[in-house]
Amino acid sequence: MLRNVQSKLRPILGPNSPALSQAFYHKKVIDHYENPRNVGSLDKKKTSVGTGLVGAPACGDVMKLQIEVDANGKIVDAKFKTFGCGSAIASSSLATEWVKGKNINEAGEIKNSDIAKELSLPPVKLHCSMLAEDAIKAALKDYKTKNEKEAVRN
Amino acid sequence: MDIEETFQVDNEDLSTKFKDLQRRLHPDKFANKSPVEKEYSEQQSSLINKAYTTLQKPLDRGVYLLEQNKVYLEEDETIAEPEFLLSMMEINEEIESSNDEVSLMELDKENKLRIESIISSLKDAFEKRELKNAKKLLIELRYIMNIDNKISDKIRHLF
Repeated sequence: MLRNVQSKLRPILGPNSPALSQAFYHKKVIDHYENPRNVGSLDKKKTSVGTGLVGAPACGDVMKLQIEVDANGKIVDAKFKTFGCGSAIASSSLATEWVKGKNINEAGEIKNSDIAKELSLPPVKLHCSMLAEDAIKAALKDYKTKNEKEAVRN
Repeated sequence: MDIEETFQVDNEDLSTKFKDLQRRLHPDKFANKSPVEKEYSEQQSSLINKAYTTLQKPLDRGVYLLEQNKVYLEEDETIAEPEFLLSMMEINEEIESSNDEVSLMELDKENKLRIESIISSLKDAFEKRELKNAKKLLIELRYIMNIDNKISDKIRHLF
């Protein structure tokens, strides 16, 4: 995934041109896709895990965000996998950082505008932060649906 | 450009008409003419370039045709079709983990078949004026074209 981003940039930027790449992306975005936090997958079959899978049809991005919730409703782990542009990767990486440690209600209040502000996303990239917000919501919804079913069964 | 407003386009005919128009309108032809004529020629010539590149590529052509029918692929739209997205995720992961020519070529071959099949369904959808279906297919094509680029990029960087 990371390699994809870099290889996309390489033709324009050359291998070592930090000054130029900053002209395209804010340094916080660069930081997140050079050192993405929480990349990977959680076991989607576990009842304590909620999975959100969303896509942006206008650019063909796909984003998966997963949360693991403990018995008190606190998000103890989060992972993501995104195939898309640098801003989409950074938005989902930041989203996993932010949801960790929050309870599921607090996590549902994370707004795309906060993500966009933190990463200084330009207007054309705002939809990447929207995608991350939708991914959090989808993961929470999946977790809740799973656990309602579980509650009925018990 | 005197091209029928259909998804099915004869690329040879398109290219002939494009070259013909450029032959008549290219700024080089107007080097000795008045500034107004030069300006018109520049505008027209660049418009024709844009039209040609849009109509040449099935994805751009399809998006343009949809827009002509007031159907848009919105930037801030999110799709949550789990089956489709899951398969896109899987293909992307497969590309990510493939590092040899043989498996990348195989993935490329599979993906080219997907492109062909979507394009033929798109032709049908536009003919029957099923715009909603056409939009869905164009979204799929966007994903599949991204994958096509990723595979070509990766092959290029390997060799």
